Amino acid sequence: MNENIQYWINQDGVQAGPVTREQLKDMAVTDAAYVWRAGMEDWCRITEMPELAGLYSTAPADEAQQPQAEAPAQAQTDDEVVTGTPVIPPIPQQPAARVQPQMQPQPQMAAQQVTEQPKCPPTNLVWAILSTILCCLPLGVVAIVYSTKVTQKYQQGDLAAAEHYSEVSAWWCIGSIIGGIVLSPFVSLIQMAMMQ
Amino acid sequence: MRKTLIIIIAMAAAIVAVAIYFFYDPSQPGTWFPRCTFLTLTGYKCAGCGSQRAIHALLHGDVTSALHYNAALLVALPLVAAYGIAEWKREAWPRFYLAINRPWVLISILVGIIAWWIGRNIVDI
Repeated sequence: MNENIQYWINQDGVQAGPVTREQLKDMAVTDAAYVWRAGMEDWCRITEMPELAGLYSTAPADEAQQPQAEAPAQAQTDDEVVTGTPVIPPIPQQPAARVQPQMQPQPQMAAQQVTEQPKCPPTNLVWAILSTILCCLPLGVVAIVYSTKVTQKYQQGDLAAAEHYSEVSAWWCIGSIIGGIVLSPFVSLIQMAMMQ
Repeated sequence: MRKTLIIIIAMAAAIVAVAIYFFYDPSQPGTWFPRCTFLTLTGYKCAGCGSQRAIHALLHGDVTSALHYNAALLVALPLVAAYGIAEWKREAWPRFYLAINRPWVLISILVGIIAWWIGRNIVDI
């Protein structure tokens, strides 16, 4: 399991992150929390993430219900209407259903809530393809290899590695372009020498 | 700031290159256009061999000749345009950016280029 992966936690409407698995262990996270990491389309419940199994506490049913029942009501006070029925003790499914619209915002909403939620670093594919097709050197292919690793690592949630590979692919592109420009006059000389 | 500078330099270089490749024909013997480094050094064609002649043909609207010189260039140009636009409009169209930067898409491009590189030396295209 990669220890560099960063997670964002949303518990009872309070968001925290980025945290690593190690840091997550020290947090009092319950099975009611929602999790997001790079590469995920949307937030999901921590219980649906096999990689985080054992890092959250499974609260007893009656204890878990109380904070869950209060959290949405508290969060919705500045909204116009409280749609739920707070008087009736909620059945286990109900809090999740009510919390979800708040917890699973549109992508733009998520970006606003957590400003430091990172984007995938550039794959540099434009330069990688151009340098392969135009620079006559195999270096551009290496750049494309590293470009593929950028998104792979990002989808696995390993941002540090994704950024590293993004930089590596950029350097291979630069190397390919400079190499192509520097070598071509010499190649022209060889050509002329061979013609004579 | 640095990004803008790179884009301006790249565009200026592209305009100069387009002008050169429009007015001069690299397929004519005795021109000063550099021959492919890889081909000169190894005797094998690279993935980009024929790009100069293909660009000249394309600028004169001769798609058939361009395909003959380097077919991969005609595939690569729309791809480069797509990735350039995706990068440029990333904020506006995040889903488009994500869609064409999926690992399997990138791996397909990688496999395609390597296959083209090896394949064109085997069947001589």
